[in-house]
Amino acid sequence: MTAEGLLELADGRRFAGRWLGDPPPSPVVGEVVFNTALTGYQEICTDPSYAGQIVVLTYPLIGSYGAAPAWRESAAPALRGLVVHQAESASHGDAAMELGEFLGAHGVPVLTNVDTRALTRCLRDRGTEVGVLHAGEGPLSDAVRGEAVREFNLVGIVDSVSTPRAYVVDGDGPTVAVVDYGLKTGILDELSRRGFRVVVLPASATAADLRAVAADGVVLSNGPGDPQDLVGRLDLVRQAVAHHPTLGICLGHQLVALAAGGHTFPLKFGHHGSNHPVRDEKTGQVDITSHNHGYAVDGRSLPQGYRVRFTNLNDHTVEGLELEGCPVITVQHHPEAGPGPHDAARVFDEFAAHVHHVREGRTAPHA
Amino acid sequence: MPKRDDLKRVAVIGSGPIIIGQAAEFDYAGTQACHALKEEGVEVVLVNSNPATIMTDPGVADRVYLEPLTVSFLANVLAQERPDGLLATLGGQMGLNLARELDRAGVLSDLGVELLGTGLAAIEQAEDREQFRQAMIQLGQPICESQTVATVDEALHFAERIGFPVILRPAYTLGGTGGGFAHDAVELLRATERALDASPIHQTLVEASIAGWKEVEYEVMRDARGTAVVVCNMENLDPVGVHTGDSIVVAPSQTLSDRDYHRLRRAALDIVAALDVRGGCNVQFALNPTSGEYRVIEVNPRVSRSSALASKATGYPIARVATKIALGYALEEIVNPVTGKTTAAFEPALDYVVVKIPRWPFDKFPRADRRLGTQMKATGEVMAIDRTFPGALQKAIRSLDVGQDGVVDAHLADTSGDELIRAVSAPTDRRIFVAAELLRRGETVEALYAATAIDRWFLRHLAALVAVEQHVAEHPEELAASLRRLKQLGFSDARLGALTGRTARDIRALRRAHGILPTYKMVDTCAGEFVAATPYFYSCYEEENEAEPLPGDKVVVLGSGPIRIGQGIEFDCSSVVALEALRRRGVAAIMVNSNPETVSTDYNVSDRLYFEPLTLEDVLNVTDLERPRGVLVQFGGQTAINLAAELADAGVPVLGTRVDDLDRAEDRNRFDALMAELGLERPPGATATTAADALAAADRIGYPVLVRPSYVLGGRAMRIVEGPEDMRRYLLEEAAMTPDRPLLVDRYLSGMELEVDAVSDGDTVVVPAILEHVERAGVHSGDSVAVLPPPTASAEVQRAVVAATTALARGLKIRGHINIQFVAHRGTVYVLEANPRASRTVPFIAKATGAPLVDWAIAAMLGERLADLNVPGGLMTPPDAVAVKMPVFSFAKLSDVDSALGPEMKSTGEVMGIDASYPAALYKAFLAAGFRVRGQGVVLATIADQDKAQALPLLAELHRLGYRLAATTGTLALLSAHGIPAMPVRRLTEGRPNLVDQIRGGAYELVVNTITHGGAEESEGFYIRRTAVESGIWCFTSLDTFTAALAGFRSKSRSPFVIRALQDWQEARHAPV
Repeated sequence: MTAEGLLELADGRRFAGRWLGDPPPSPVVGEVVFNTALTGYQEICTDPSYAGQIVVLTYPLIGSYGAAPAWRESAAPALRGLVVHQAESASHGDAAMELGEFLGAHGVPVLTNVDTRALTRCLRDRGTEVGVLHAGEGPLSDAVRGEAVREFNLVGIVDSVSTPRAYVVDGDGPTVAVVDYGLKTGILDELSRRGFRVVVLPASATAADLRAVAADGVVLSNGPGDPQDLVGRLDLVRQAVAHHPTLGICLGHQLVALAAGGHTFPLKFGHHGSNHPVRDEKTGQVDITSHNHGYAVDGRSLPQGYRVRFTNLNDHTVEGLELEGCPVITVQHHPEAGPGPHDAARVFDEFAAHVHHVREGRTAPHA
Repeated sequence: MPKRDDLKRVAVIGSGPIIIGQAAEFDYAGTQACHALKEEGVEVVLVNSNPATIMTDPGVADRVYLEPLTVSFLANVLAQERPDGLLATLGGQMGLNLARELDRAGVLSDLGVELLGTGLAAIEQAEDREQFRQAMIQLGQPICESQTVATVDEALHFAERIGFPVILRPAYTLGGTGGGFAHDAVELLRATERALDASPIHQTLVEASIAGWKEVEYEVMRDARGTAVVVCNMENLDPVGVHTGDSIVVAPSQTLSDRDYHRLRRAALDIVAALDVRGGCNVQFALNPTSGEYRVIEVNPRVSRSSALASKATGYPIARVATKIALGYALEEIVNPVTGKTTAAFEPALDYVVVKIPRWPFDKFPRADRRLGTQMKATGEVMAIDRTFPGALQKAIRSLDVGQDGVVDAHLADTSGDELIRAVSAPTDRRIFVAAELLRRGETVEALYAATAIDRWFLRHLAALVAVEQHVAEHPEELAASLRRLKQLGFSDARLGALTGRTARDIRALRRAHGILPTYKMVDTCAGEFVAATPYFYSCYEEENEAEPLPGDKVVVLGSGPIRIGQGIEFDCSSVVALEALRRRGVAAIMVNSNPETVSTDYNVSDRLYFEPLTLEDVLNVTDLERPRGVLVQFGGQTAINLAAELADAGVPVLGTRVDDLDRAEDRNRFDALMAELGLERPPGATATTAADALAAADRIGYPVLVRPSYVLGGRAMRIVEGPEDMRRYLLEEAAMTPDRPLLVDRYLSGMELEVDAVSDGDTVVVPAILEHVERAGVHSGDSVAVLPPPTASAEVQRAVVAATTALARGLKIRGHINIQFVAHRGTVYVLEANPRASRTVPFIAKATGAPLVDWAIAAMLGERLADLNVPGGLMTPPDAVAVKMPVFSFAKLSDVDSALGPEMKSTGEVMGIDASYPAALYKAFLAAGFRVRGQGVVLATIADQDKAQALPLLAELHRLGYRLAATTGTLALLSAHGIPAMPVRRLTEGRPNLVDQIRGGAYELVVNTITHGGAEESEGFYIRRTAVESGIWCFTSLDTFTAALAGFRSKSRSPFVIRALQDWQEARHAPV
């Protein structure tokens, strides 16, 4: 019989379940968020943007097609814990192992048999909360839970998932510098697919480091945490925007807004899923996109020259920006998919076109 | 792109009668479309020949035409109504084909009617195999190696090139009619002939077989601006090779990785964009489970059975959204009615799993070929929702209403292992049970995977269920501790009782004692991300219950479950009207049903929908939670009424006729006593619980006798038995008797059959109309052509019928509906049977007369007095129109089923013809049922001896009308003796070409064949009828029907049809004379 476990939210609300594999040796604290994607649990578990978070999957049957190296978005899972309704065993030609084995090998606890819909409704109504996963006998005392919650923070989380040093992914085309704030492999794949030579820089890179790359374009990657924690690192962002065709994705998009003097704000319970409609305000095209963010750019705070390029049709939040007359485009969502639809992949085409145009001298990087 | 304001009036084409492959899902789609149009202020003109639908309710469309779905009738309606647009993508294949024909005939351009939604070019491209193939090659989408052929030779050449096995898909057919596999040249020869015959354009695709690959479907919605979303994807449990309508289907897909899912999604969106679909579209793929390769199998650019399932599985109203798109809206401009905030431009997120299981008619046709292939055989389906796959699967199984509970089929216990292994390799309706039985006997998942290619994921779940069952049976003492988990896995109380030697009631008590009660979760399209107000729930065993009991006065209506022969869409139609009647009275209406195809499970027709099996446990769970004023059992056919007694036992109030009175109507002996008390006549009869009893009873009563099991609907296993030998055979083959389910043996009285559907409050008894059946007693009432008002019944007979109805309804203290069937035999009116519930004919009568039967019945059930509503007692004044109800059959889909009519019901649907005169109405009904005659050609007559006298004048008249006759020896002799020329034909035993060859070769315009019992002639008759059915040639097996048809032919040239909206017929009726 598997051991019983609990997820306790900051306000004391408890959700009971059973551990898939080993229970965590000590309580695990994280921000509890839910993701509504029907598929892509391994991509979610390995997306570094989930660092520091306990992820609840709303689709109840998880693990049905197993886990495989090809489905990873980074080398190791970044999330603190996974909460599901029902763990399934794998049946898929490409599966190399069970999801439970994969997460277990990385010490990520998986709580199953949870009424994940009740939990989701709770998070939806009250907003994202810090929670504690633990295997203790009975619930935590208010004092213990309170302390765990108070002590929880995501300071330095980006550096914990960023590459420690720069590296190169070869390609025949122009060079693109990618700043890794918690980079998903899918972004690298999209760039490689378009022939770019990619230089990945750590999140700690400075404007000078970026200059040293002599890149033809810059991608500011996705990543975990509150963008405002990175206000000390905006010089690199300004450098990119001012001198290079730039693509900001998710956290990268938020940093572009902050660097230009805009504001970001936390969403009540974030957007995490594969079904969000986003309208391209330039073309009118509506795409279904992959989402994973807890913060958004305040559309009223945009500085001169920036235009909202993409809008979320569910809550009308800003989904991307463009800088008038400049080859700068940002998206809050994930055109690289993994998990989710590839509808928005043409954002990479647009970025690639910018890079080629600038390199060929057809467009100035900064008008 | 806001709504177009030039569309003031739009015509909608329905899909006509329910047949296999084109069923209730189109009533659901069409009704939703009509509502969506009216909501936009558009006037709706509806044409559909099927009176059993909600869409033909005069409240749903502004102008309802119950007319045959042919180009000439549609052209006439369009000319009368002059709509601005035509919506044809909601009426199934029927609607699309008609739109195409109307366009080709120039009708649309002449009348300036614009075809809305997906254009004809796209439809052609998706449906014409060759155009589709070219389009896919251009798009770079992989399809199966295939070739369109028009001859057997071409097919053989192609198959020799690409190798066997191959699959055949005839062009422009529905439900895969005429399609099939061929494993060698001999099979291909036959299969190609059949496929070419089935195709109206005499073309079929021959395709490399990809049997064993996974079958996956995507339901796509696209607007004119190019925005497209996937509403739902679905995975067939059965690999490619079984028609998706015959497959167990899960939603969403379970064994596809994110990459698989999105690769196929992308392909679906690309295809739909290339075809410029504007509305709903279904795309089917085959996915190789090892290599990951895929093939596009099929694209349906319209709403379909799959889209109905996807709508119910997700809460996304596909037909409604498709309609708004046709009116010019973009997806992002259409509000998602479920959340009220978000738009239709999103993809539903499910937080549950959905299982659909088809409902097959093999219980009615024990001799039918149960193998499943590319030709759909199911008449209906059930759906179940749960938070685990085993939970949804087991719920779906008990929703089928076939006496099965869990993954077990008791009949298989005696089958040998070898036989089971053989059985599991071929897909049949029983395969999942066979697989479970093999697992129970120790077979491995791997072995079953090798035999079936069903994904291991599903097989492992089956194996786990079997293991759990065994554990429960071996350790009944652990039951209480594991009860919650077992309920999560979908085990019913009854099944757990059976496994542990207890009753369902014991388990229920145990459950309640431990506080193990179901929780209900909402189907909200968004996995809880947004607040939704959808009143659509399913049960599971978890922590939080979201279904707060509805406040105020409320009533539960039990639906009728899956569509099956004998319990069709008619019952759903009445259920929906009942919900409306309750809501109009300010009573909250709660629906419980398990059928994803129908209107009753659209979440906005009731105040709350519980998508649940119709079993005692599942219904009690709902009533425990809701504590309604009571439950209505009169609308859901036999499924609902069979629950009445147990519900009452459990303390749930059954509204309307008291349970004891329901029993008095159904219990043979009590009913006889009542009949005697009331002085009413009924054919002498008896009940038997053993074979010896039955034989003795028949001897006493005198042959011929009518035998049938009690408590069944649609005359299952009902037969006219001519003598003791025949009786012995029947007892051996059919009759399972138990003391509480005895066999009924009645004297068979030949005569005119009459039927009424009355409504009573126990005092006032209103009879809206008397139906006269064209066929004499002996043909099941559901298979009879019925006419109202009665064309031949004397005033005296009619008075006797009304008097008997009034007496019976009062005697049974009916509150609500009663259906009574009579036979007028030698001047006396006998009561054949009484059903204390809404019957199959209620929707027909309501439409033909305009009488709101269901509304009155609801009033009576709620305790109102009909007199207070000014409802008159007795027979209502007949309408000025004549209405004919005609059965429609699906024999072409069911090989080995005899099309001869008898006491067991065989029809799957019905049409209505309404006109000013009987012959005109009758002829319309024949046309609506698909009957086509050119008024010339050769008629083949093979008449049994007992029918020859009746046949002679009919054949003589055919001759006078200009037909030539062909006949077998006996019939030929009869004709020659009376100076009627006829050509001799060879019997099966008389060399080739014989009559069957000639039927197949298209030599005959129609066939008249009556049954000879016993001997070689019986089996020859069967071949004749089957060949006619398979060759698409009308075959009359009842001379009564044939007589009526002749009356119709005569009228054809005589007077023009009166084509008038139902609203006008009904108004004319109430206008002063």
